[in-house]
Amino acid sequence: MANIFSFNMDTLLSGETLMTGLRVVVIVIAGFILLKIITFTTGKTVKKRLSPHSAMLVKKAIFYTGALIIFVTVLRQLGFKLTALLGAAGIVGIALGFASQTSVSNIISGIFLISEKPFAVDDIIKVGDTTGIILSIDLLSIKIRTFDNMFIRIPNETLIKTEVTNVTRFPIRRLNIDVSIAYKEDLGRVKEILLEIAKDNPYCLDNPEPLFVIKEFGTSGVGLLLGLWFVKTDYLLLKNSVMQSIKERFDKEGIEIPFPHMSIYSGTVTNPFPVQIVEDVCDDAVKGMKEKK
Amino acid sequence: MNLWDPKAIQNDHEYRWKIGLLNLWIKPIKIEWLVGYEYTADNSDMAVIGEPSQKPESVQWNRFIFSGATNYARLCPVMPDRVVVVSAELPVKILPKSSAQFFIRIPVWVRVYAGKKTDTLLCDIPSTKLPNSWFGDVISGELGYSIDTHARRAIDPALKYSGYAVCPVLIHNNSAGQIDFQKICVHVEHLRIFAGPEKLWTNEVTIRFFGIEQPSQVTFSDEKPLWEKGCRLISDERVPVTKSLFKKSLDVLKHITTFE
Repeated sequence: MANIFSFNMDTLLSGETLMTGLRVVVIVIAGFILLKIITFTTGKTVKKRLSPHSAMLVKKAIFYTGALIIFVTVLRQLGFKLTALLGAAGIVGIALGFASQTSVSNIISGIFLISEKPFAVDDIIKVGDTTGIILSIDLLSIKIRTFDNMFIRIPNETLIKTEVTNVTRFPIRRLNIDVSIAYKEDLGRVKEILLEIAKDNPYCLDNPEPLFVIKEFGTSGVGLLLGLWFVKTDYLLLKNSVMQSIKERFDKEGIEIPFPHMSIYSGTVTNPFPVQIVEDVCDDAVKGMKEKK
Repeated sequence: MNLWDPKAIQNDHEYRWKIGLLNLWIKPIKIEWLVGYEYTADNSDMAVIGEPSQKPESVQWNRFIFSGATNYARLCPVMPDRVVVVSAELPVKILPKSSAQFFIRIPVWVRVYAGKKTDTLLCDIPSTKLPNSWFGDVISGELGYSIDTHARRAIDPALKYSGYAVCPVLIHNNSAGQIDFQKICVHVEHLRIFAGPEKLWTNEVTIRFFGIEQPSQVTFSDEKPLWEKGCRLISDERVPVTKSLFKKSLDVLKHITTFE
C-alpha cells in the first residue's frame, strides 16, 4: 500500500500514478453522470406508480447505493484493501450507531409511516396542539405549514408514538354545533328552525341528513347538538355562515340563548323568597348618616 | 320563436330571458358583453325570450371581453356539471329479473353564447339553485346535486317543464334479490339534450343492477328519445363516454349516524 504521508514528487508524477489518477477522475465523473441519469429515469417511472414520498425514498436509495459503488471502485483503483477498510468501518459503525440512535429511530419510524400511510402530502393533520398542512414527508421527519404560516418540523419518531388526527382523510366531515336554549323555549319549533337553517345553507349537504340531538338538560338551559355534513374544503365557509344564521334567526324569533346563570329558590317555587325589614336597625342607620352630614 | 334559437339583439340595449327560475339579462357593447342573472320565486312555465328589459340594480353585471363583434345571442341548455341524486316518488321494490322505467325532470344549466353558433361561450348558469348532496357513504362517494323532483313512472302533464330536461332511466334488476332503493344517482355529465316540440329530453340511461356489493353497469343510449316525435339534438354531453360505466347508482343502504 502506498505511504500516503510521503510526498515524493517523482512517484506522484510517474506515469502509473497519473494513469491511476486519471482513471479515478473518469470513474467519478462518468459514475456520477450515469448515476444521475439512472436516478432521474427511475424517479420518473416510479412517480407514476408510487406516492411522492415513496418515489423520493426509491430515488435516494438508488443514489446512495450508486455513490457507495463508485466510492468502493475508486478505493480499489487507489489500491486500498477493502477487508481492512471494512474492519475499520465496523468499529466506526458501532460508534456511529450509538451516536445516531435517534436518527435511526426516526428513519425506521419513517419507513413504518410510509407503509401504514396514515396521511399524505397536502393532508391536514393534528399532532398534539399543532395543526397544519403536510408539506413533505421525509426520511427523518415531516414538515408542516400551520394556518398562520409557520413552518414546523415533526420527527417521525414523535408521529409513531403520538396520536395523529388526519382531518382531511375522508371527503366529507360533520360540523358539530352546540346550541343552548332557555327552558321556556318550544323544542319542536327550535328544531324546525335549525333544520331550516341547514337546508338553506349552500355549504351544507342534504345527504347525509343534518343531525339534531337533544343532548342534556343543563344547569342554565337545554343543550342541543346540530350536526351538519359538508365537503372537507368548506369548513370555515359553513361554520361562519351557519353560526351567523342561527344568531340572526334566534333573534328574529325571540329564542333565548341563555348565558350561565343560577336561580335561587327558598324551598318551593310558588312561595316568594322571604325578606324581612328590621326597622330599628334601619332607623338607627339613617340617623347616623344624617348626623355625619 | 324558440328559446334555444339565436336571437338578434342591438348594441347597448338590455335584454331579458326567463328559463325556469332563472332571470338572465344580456347587454352587448360591441366586443364586451355584460351578463347578469338572479333567481326568482316565479316558477311559471312561460319562458321569456330576449325581451327588452332593464336589469334591476340589485343584479350585478359580469363582464366578458372577446374578439369578433356580433349582434346575436344564443342560449343552449346543458346538463349539470355534477351527478344528480333523486328520490323515487314512492318507495320502490324491483323484483329479480324485472325492469322498471322512470322519468326524471332534471334542471338544466344555460350556456350563453355570443353569436349564432356555439363558438364563443361566455358562461354557464344553472337554471335553478340546487343544494349540494353526497351520494355514497361517509368514507367514499361522489359530490353531486340533490333535486326535489322525483323519479316518476310516467310523464305527468301537470308538472312544469320549463328549465328542465326529462331523463328516461331504465333499471334492470339482474341480481338474485329484490332491489329496494331510496335514491338514484344519475351521471348527467354524460347526457345529451334533445329539443322536442314541447319538452327537452335527454338520451336514455340504462342501469343494470347486479347486487348491493357490486357497482351497477350504466349505459347511455345513442338514439333520440322515443317519447316525443320530432326531437333534435341541441346540446352534446359535457363529458363524452365511449363505453359503459361501472358505478354505484342505486342507494340501497341505510345509514346510521351517531353524534359521539
